Amino acid sequence: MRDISAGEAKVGDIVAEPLVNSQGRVLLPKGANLSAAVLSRLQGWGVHELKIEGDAAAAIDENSGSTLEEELEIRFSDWADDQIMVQIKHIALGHQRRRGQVSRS
Amino acid sequence: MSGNPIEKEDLAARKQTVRVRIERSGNLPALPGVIAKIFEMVDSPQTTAKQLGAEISKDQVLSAKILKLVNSGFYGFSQPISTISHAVTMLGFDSVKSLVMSSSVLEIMDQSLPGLWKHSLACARTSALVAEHLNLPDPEEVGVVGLLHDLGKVILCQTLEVEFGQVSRRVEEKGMLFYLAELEVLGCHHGDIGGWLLEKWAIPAKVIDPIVDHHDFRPQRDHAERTAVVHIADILTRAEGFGSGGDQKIPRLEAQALDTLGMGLEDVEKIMDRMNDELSELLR
Repeated sequence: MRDISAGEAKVGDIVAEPLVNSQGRVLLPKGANLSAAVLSRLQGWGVHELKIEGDAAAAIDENSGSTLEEELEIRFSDWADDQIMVQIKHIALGHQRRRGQVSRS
Repeated sequence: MSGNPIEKEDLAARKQTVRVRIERSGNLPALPGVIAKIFEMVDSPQTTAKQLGAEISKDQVLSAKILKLVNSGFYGFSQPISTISHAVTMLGFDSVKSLVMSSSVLEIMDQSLPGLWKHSLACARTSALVAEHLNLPDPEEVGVVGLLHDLGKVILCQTLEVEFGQVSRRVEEKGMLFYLAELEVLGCHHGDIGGWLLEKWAIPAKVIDPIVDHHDFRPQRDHAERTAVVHIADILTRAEGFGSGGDQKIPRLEAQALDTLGMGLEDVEKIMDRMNDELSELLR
């Protein structure tokens, strides 16, 4: 489990602890898979931080030496400020990571 | 810049010069005789599916190509299609016309730009997926539009070699988008160029317009819905990394294209999930 900011959250991340708003209402249960729709709402819900599954070392391992992910970053590098493009990149990244897990297992 | 009438005139003149040079180059793909005959039959209201199927079947190579394309998984038919007349019945006349043309164009595609064939096939299926998702009419024909959206790149490569080299160098050295490098070098891009050839082949505007405008979406133009579909499909295909459009970057998805189709990011995610499920094994 690791803490990340709402901005770092990506499609496919799994919520490690229930996400609760200031009134104590559960916005997302533990184990929920973050979708693009949910990601686009995080800000509106006032969520700044959340806990997701996996440890920091795994995150670094996932990113290191991953040429496909680097290619994806280059492809989207002009659109870091465009909300739609950022979401599309997150979805594509989620697919890429899932495929990576399948091929590793 | 676009508001300056002198610059506008200059751009139109540059475009016209490129068009004339391409058309006179002698390398423009011609429609083979059998295809011209098929086009004539498709346009005649007297032609039946059986007659059309029989005419296409006379050309074994063409028939094989069509059956291969129809059964390639990109049309999403659950049962294999084994005869041309079945293909004609399933797809409709207009789609067959586009398909006949596509089958002759695709061959030259990979010779021009490695990866363009995969990019085009993935864009074809994605265009059809978007059309199906939104219940738009004629998803097969929308797929053919997706298939042909980068046809102009092939023509550019085959007719204006020097300029094609200049465009490719800009793409490589400056990391530019292909169409922006084309605009810099030629004053027009592959959408325009593809449109000129299709116009010459008397393909209907509902196929040509989305190809011409796929990098310049404007909601008020004719066939804006289809243009939006192909604009979105092209970008999602690049995002998922299917094949190559000849550059490293991705154009920005115009929010107006999503608005025109009444789509949200949830729809985009569903479509990308389907692309990932259906196309990964076929094309990566």
